[in-house]
Amino acid sequence: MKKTVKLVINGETHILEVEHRRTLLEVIRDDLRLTGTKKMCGQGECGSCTVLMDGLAVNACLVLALDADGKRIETIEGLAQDGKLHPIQEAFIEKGAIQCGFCAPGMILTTKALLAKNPSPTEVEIKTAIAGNFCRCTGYARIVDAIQSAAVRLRGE
Amino acid sequence: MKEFEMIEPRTREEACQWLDRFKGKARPYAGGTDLLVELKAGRVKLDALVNLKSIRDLGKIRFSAKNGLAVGALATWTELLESEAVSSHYPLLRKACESMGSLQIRNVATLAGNICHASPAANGPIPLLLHEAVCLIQGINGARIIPVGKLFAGVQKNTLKHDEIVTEIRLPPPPAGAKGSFHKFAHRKAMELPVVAVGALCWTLNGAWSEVRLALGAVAKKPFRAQKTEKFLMKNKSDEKTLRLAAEVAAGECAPITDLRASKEYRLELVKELVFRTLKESLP
Amino acid sequence: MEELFFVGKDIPRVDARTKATGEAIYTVDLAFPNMLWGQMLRSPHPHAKILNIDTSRAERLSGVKVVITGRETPFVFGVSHMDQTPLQTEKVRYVGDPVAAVAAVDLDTAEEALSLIKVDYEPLPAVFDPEEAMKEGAPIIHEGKLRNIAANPIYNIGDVEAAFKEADDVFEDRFETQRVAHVCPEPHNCVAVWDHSGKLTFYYCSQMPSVSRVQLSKAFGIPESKIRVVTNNVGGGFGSRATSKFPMDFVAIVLAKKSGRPVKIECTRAEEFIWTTFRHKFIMTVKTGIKKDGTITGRHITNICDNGAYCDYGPVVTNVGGAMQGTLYRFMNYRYDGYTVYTNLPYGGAMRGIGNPQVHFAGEAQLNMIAHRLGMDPLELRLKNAVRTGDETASGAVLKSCGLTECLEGVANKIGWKGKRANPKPNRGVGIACGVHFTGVRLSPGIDADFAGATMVVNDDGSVNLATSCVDIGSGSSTALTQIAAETLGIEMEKINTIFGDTETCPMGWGSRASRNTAIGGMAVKKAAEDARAQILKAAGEKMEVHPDDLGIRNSTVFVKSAPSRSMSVADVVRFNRYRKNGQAVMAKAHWDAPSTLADKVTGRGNFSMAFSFGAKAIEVEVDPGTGQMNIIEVAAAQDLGKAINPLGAIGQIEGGVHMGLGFAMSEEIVLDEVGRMRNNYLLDYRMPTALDMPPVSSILVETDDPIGPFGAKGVGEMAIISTPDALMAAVYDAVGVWIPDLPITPEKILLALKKKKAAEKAG
Repeated sequence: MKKTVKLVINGETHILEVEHRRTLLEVIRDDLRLTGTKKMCGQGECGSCTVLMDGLAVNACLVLALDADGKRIETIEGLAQDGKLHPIQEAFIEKGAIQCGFCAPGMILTTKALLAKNPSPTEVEIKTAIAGNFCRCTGYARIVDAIQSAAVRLRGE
Repeated sequence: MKEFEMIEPRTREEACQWLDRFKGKARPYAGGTDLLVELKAGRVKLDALVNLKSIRDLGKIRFSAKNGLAVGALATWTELLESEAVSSHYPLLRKACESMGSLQIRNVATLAGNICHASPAANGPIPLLLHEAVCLIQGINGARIIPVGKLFAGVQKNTLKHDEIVTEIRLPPPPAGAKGSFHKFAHRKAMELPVVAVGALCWTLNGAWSEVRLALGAVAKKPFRAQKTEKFLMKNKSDEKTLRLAAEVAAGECAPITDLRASKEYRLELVKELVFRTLKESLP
Repeated sequence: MEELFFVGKDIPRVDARTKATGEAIYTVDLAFPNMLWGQMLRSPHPHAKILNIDTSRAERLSGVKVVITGRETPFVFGVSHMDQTPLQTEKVRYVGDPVAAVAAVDLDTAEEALSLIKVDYEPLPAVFDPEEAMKEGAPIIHEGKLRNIAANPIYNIGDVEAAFKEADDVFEDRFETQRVAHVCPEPHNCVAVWDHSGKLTFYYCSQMPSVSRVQLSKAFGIPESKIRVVTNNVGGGFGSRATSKFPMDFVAIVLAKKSGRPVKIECTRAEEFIWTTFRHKFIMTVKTGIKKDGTITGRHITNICDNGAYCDYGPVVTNVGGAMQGTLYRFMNYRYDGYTVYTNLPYGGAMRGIGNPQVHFAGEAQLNMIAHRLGMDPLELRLKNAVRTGDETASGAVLKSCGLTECLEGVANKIGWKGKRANPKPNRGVGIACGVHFTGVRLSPGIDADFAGATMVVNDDGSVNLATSCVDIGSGSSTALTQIAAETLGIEMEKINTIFGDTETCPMGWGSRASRNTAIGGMAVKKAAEDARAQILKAAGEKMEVHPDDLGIRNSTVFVKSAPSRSMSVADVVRFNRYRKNGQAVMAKAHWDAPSTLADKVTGRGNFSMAFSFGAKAIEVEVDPGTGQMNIIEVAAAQDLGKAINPLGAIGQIEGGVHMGLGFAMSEEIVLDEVGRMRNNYLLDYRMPTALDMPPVSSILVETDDPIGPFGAKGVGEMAIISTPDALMAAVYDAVGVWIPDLPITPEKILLALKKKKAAEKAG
């Protein structure tokens, strides 16, 4: 069974005919070939497929493409603008928060959602926000550092 | 996932009619964070999902001092966490929300979905049992109201008929003068189903308990009110010795299993300790 | 000491930008036109004869292009023991052993095709416990392997029995460590592509692409020049992708050859957990002789490694644990009896530390128990016995640099060791442990090599293309190597483009394993850069009519040392050098073999690594005696890494190692059912610490300036995980008085141990 959906991804509109069972992650990665969003578990347990849907961080593997119809989707590809990296990306790079990099896109988008709602998060608030983003390489300390640095940059300090 | 059809009804009645038409081969779908995982794993096979998100009048969160808290079927955990009313008047519910899943799951999953999934270890039921919440159910034969406790039939089994949906969960007005406490034991601080969950809501009068409500999760096929223990507490002085004895009674009301998270024996030890701590915090 | 401009600086990773934008490509992101999806059919039995395989119905399914069985994959492979074929023909040896494979137009069709393949099995008696498997009469899993012993590495140095006689006390204790999964973020996957010129291109998330090429060349009988292995960015390795040794590698290649189309095979997370190897379970007995004054006279360790059904890295893993226990303390009487035992279970492989973390746990756990029994300070006991610079250890290791004492003292200071032990708080405790790991290793008998390669070209504009044999699996090797190149050349990092992973453009090397990238990969880069620098200086000398010895390079400018205003750009030198009669390019190469030696065949002794990285960890924990729940207050981790080429990067490795170490210590465990199916092959119940669970970690970098490694550097990555469970076990004892000798140390084990202790105290 198929349905035509309108997906607005990073400001660009895509009209697609999708099977009802197709997840947003599958459409993003396999159909649109936006491979920055990663699949690590496919069950909503790792956060590597995190995208923003109307500003909310969601696991794209557990969102059906139908559910994303008409919603504003942001993937990692949409963060850098005109060749300039987003302050969150700059912070992650500067603070050594990226090792193998597989969790980075999801982690960065979760950070974006967090800082949009809470521009001055405490350490516990940061860790709570990223608790659903799994990293096997860093032990999270540099990531928390990066998020605190990003918060400072975004506050314009 | 195997193919299925997504039905998008406009009204509750339409939703129930569709569910009825599919005779158990369709399920209501809201957040989907449990259901999609089951479908992907092939543990559940369905011909259709009935999308409740397309129903306009399935309300969100409403509060009044007179009527209490109404949580619509589509209210997400994040919306509950951000609700002033929940934070101010139902701190136990808020505590359950905080420790549930992850940010990404909380943004999409619903409280209604959580209780309908009927996992004995779920976060949602404990505060609802303590507040003696009810759920509003709609089916092709009309609407009914049942206490939340009556929704659970067993492990991941609810008592809904195949044409029914939960449209709302209602908590009575905030209990004046009540002291509540919630303890869960989990291996990690996030992404965890509790190994044992204990909640208490107690009223005192003249320095003694006038009412005690004790709810336990992850220690039986369903989350439940420990009624024997409640009765025991009402009959005895509320001192530490009694609390230890009460904890033993509570352990006797449980039927825990050994699973990937803990052994039966350990769960019983945890029940005794957590019931003691929970009650101690609610002492008059 | 010469001033350094790049080495020793916290330079952001050279690959971080594209990883932060999602532009970095991983093997799993690849898709090709006309591509098919491969899937393997796996045995439901732990041990069974294959009587018949009927693939006819699967072949007829629309969308299925190829179906193969073991007939089409007659290759034998392995790491040190060639005991595996990609698809089994005679018998299966574990639940999950592949027997057939299909390539189809999509995954759904591939899955359906698998369900149509009919396999007739005759179940055989199976054995799931290595101690049972070693008994007479146990089912034999591989023909000719008596008592299911695949390997038996032994270290026999000095006279351990005499050492026990000489001792005032002899203690013997038993320890067990559990199976733990790598959980690489990028699931195992590969794409095989053939073309009609007979060339195979194999895209694989490999840690050792050039070794993969050798293995594939041998297996398929085609020249290495016709095989291209391509590794893009890798989403984590941790040892699971060292060498090409998975059935799926060979299967994808055969499916692609037969179908004439690219074939991709990708593991689901559930498959990844259990069928791409994991850390082996060890059952260890440690016997230690010790004098009253705390001098260890000798040690005898027995280790039974539950290998699983096929060797893979099992024998090496069993070996390494033994080697390293003869490298930490000064006793010279040492015996290690290792047994790599086959069982009818999924098989383990190399995982960060490759056997060392497990045996360290046993050795250090016992040392802490001994300290307690003798009433000695565990820190003092270690300091007394610790090896030092200049020592030749029991294992034959020659320690040209050793920061063990500094590491121990560093973590003790950070955690407040003396003060906290003098004024203990209820239910709170501190524990300490130390360890050692190698920097590259010569431990595979018969392979007398441990090398890396680098090639370098300086372009007309003064920029540099550097190709390394090291794969950056997330550890930051490309960055460190670029720093070493920049420092040696005098050319800025932004001008150096470091590539890896493509056997068509990169030199051969042992890739990324055994903590060798910075040191061995680094020396190859340094040598190549020195060669390139010499070529630049020679040409510049000709142009400027100055002796090359009087020339220096900084910021891409060649200058006369005695008259710095006389200079020319590196770019001008390169162009001068190339565009003239008999001109030359600036091109350099290096193949660097680490100065280590193979072990003596009888004793096991040898200086088997170029350098040894020491480390220590101290942990403070608070235990809830009512539930057994642990709250880790702080972890202090010190590491002797010779020289921190990139301190921020090294700290990242240590913090990541502590995270993995804490999971190993407290909560991670592969749980198998009665026939070897994994019960918890999903992230909810395979518990790794989340961000909320991580305690503060203080990293102390101890720089001992090793004389061999580039700028004094040694390995980092594996020592980072070692000692973590060891220190935690001791901290828990210090807090609540119970020893937990089996990993993971869980709240349940603690609570039940406390109950037992209370009951014993009541009775006694």
